[in-house]
Amino acid sequence: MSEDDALMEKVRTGDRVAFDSVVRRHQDRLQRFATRMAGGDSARGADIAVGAFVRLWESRTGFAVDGKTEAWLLQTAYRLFVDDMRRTKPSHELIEHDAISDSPHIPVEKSALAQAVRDAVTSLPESHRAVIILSAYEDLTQAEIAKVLDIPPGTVASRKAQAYETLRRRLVAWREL
Amino acid sequence: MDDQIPFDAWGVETTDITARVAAAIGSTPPSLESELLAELRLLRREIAELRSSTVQLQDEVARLRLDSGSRRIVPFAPSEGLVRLS
Repeated sequence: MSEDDALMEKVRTGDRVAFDSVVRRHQDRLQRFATRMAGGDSARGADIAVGAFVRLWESRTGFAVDGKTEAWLLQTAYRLFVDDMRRTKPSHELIEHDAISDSPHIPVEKSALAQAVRDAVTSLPESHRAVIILSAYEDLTQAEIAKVLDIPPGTVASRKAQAYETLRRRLVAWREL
Repeated sequence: MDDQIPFDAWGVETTDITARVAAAIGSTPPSLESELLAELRLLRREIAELRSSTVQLQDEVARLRLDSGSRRIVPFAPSEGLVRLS
């Protein structure tokens, strides 16, 4: 049994210490994923991550302990993001702050490149954006992404190919530097 | 496929959200002390189990020595099918 599953067995019984360990284990990945989905808005990313963990706690008694805790959390974060986006902001809205562009020590060109990559990824439709973020930034396999997004692996492949084509077009200027 | 796209340029910083999650589910996050105590209890349990299995092993070795002259055994494995060496 994996460490995640052992912890979730305890969480099912209401063990808050075990739940805290689950949060510690997954909070970075969940925040990174949600923040990138939200175009670099780290506050919104943290809100989504907190929401996903709360859902996990609320679902603990019926939670199937089968080695898929992380996929469940990422899927929940994705759904929360999509729900939130449909309720509030347009998907292409860009956030004007992040750790890289705020730093005075990072050369302007690198900061601008970070901005360009962020804008290009953020401008993708959310279904394509999620595939790119999960594959390029979180190193998930095609099968893992399919589980998270609840779509067939073939759909993951086609979305990924389309997204890369779009990104290449939008970042072509940087490739020529 | 992705070697031409500079994904690495976009870094994201994260924060510790354990306290926020704990507050949201209506509890306080466990302190470092209580976490260490829990780990200590677990370690003590493991040590007790190890001691118990060591005593069992010693008893078994003593029993085998008394039982016959000399015999090779594989610890923790079934003895069926093993060749008696003496």
